[in-house]
Amino acid sequence: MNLLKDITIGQYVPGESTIHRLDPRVKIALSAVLMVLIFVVESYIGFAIIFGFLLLVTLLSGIQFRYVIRGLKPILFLVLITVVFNLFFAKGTLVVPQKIYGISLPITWEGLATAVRMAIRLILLVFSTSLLTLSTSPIQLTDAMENLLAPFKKIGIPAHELAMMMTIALRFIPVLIEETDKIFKAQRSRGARFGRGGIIEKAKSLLPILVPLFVHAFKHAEDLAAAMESRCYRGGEGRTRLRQLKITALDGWAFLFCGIIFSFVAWWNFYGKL
Amino acid sequence: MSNNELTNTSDTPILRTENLCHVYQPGTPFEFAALNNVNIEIKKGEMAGIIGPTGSGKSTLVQHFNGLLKPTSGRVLVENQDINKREKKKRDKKSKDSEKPVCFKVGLVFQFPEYQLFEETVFEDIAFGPRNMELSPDEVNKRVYEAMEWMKIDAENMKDRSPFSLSGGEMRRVALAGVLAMQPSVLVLDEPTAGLDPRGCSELRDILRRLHSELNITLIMITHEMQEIARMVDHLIIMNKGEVYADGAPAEIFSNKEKIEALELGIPPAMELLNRLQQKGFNLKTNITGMEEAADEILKALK
Ligand SMILES: Nc1ncnc2c1ncn2[C@@H]1O[C@H](COP(=O)(O)OP(=O)(O)OP(=O)(O)O)[C@@H](O)[C@H]1O
Ligand SMILES: [Mg+2]
Repeated sequence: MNLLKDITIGQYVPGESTIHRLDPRVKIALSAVLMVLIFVVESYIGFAIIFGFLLLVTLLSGIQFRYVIRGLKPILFLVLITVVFNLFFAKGTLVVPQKIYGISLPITWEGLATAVRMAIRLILLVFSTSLLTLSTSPIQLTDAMENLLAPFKKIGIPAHELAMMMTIALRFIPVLIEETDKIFKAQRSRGARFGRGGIIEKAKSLLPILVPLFVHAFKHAEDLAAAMESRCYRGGEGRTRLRQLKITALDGWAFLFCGIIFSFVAWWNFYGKL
Repeated sequence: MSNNELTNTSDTPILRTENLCHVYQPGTPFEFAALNNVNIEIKKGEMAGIIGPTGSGKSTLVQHFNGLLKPTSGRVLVENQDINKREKKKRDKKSKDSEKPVCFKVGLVFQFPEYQLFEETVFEDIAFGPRNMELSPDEVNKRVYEAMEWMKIDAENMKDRSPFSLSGGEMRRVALAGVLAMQPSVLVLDEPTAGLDPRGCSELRDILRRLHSELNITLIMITHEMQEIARMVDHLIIMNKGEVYADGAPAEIFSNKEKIEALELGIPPAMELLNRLQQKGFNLKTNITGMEEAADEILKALK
């Protein structure tokens, strides 16, 4: 048995595709625009075009569609809750006007429409962010974040420190997952049972995992701090980088292509409905 | 001091795998076939060694022995019972302790077992396993003290200390005692000496040898060190790329020199010496792994 094996959010799939080679800043910027668009769009044709666009990007990235979709599993529950809420709490004309056994079903056409739209939006949102993280390494992402945040340093946003924190956090997620898995297996070998009995017992049964996990997380933190200090890390001031971000012609084409599609979707949404 | 002759190996297989395959993360871009058609058999009372280059699937293999990993295909049999099947049957009957038999019959000690320490005192930590077996408090007590004695842990001074205040070598022994106290009939150790100083290594090896000869526990050890393992074990399994590369008695395996050298695992120094001497024209046997026996052989050749 393998603990946490289904966690794919934020898992980078290395590759050399067009999508992988795009500048991470361009990818983040375009993703941000796309997210706004997803929330602005009302028409199903707009959603269809965005979906088609994301399919195309998946194809270009060379990542299996099946694998991208797996990332949607964890949010299905969230989608369900949103749908239920939107379904029952909107005013308008009832779908079933007659009372059945004296109870009227409080579902309206308007509620149904919002619910469906919300579900589509959430799915598209997760689809597009998964594509971003699947095709961009965490290091590239944080580099790009630091770069994009740099102008805000003047108003007191510690861009470098934020990016460094993010890099470290992202770097240690797989390590901690692996360690949890290992400790879990070791304790199971000692006959530990998890998730049995009442809530107190359940919480207690987690101690054999949590205690070693925390001990080691602190140890990792200490080691890392020592390693950084012994290499004279002093924060972002005057630091040069090994990987320089460069905008290439490919990024220009990506901007152009996405610009056309995104503008068309926006135009259709506001003016195109006949 | 090879104790190959002292062991009382019987012919009954205690652990067997049949066409065992394991695929990690199937259906993802990270899919990886870590084990491929592994067929091995460990006899009761044997001291077996598993060796192989890094990433060859050794740890994956032993995690099947007590049911931590389920085979993608193939079977694992402990005392002639398919460990994964039996569990299912019991679960159907709604038995509570579906995992009890396998998990307690085969004790698995992971690489760097100090990772598993968590209790407030050494005593409590060693008692964790036996308590999970739902033994009586007296029995738990008895087993903990026995395990401490076996692992050469000074019970009086150590039992009330926090396991986190111990030295690395002490932690390792406490962790091993924790598994030993469950009195498994098969003890599997994943790189038991990794990260210990030379003295700690040889002490631990002596303890393991005594466990094997005096308690007649079946021992399975994973290791990187060809030198040491070759003279300790009476059954050696070499893994490579998820497959069994060689399987048999060490002397037998080392007689095929080219095959072993191809893996670059190193050859026991005694054997290396005998090989070189043979190349220089001495007439002697080369399939000897222990230093003392090698010395005898050289003396014989010089006469
Ligand atoms: N959870 C996992 N997901 C994917 N691949 C894995 C996982 N665990 C191990 N592997 C891969 O399976 C292969 C075998 O791993 P295993 O840990 O069994 O090797 P090993 O022989 O014990 O190596 P070592 O001597 O370094 O301990 C390795 O290539 C490893 O990368
Ligand atoms: Mg290993």
